[in-house]
Amino acid sequence: MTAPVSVVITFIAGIVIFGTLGDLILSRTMKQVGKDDLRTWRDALRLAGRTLGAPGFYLGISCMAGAFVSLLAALSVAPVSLVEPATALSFVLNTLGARFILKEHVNPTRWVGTLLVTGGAYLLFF
Amino acid sequence: MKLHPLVAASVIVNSLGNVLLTLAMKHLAPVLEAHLAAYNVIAALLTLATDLTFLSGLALLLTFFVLFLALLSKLDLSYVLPITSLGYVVTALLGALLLGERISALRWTGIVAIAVGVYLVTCSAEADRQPAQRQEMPL
Repeated sequence: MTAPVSVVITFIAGIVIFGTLGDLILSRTMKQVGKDDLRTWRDALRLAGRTLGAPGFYLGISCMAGAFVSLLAALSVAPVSLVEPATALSFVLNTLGARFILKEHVNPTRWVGTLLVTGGAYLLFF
Repeated sequence: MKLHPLVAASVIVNSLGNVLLTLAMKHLAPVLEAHLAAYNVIAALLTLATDLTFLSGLALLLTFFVLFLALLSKLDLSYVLPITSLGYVVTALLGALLLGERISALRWTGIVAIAVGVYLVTCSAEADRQPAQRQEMPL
């Protein structure tokens, strides 16, 4: 590792926090613009138009870009075997955000499943 | 357990995109490094923009993003996100089959954990739907 631990942690926090914010903002935006039926290609085109006209879409994409830049920054100072597993944390943070910010109903089964996915994603990078 | 067809499509598109990008970056790496070492960014970008494998991978990942947004317009984030992690599993398996990558015992454990986790998250969505369906049934 070529950088102090605090720098690495800041970059990894950037990946997880920007990524989660991006997912939460995009999810809320898509729920707002996607209330109508989605059955035909015409519905899909209308949805695409409404998505491109929603400020939340651009805010969400910007957060995703922030997460990507943080990823590149982290990879430039720390090995991929350290950076990638840490990003598995986003699953937990996303589910917390979905529960408390988006007010989704997350039952215990879904929590156990999410934690297994997080642990599994962590192991996958070894 | 029933997987939404769009979810299955997004998982496959995402994994194929990742595999194609990996393939492209592996065979382009020497050329790209040479261009970047000479500070020739335009040549590096041109190399990427004219490589069919890279462009197909990029197109698939963009398609995945569009499918992901379409899914979010109808389904919970706490459902869609864990389910799309199946992509990790498919990518790991494709990596082993097509790119000859080795899957260690630890990675197999991870693959099984993700598969079980995705199964549970799918079950959780069905458990949520059932009470609503019962209410809709005529008495």
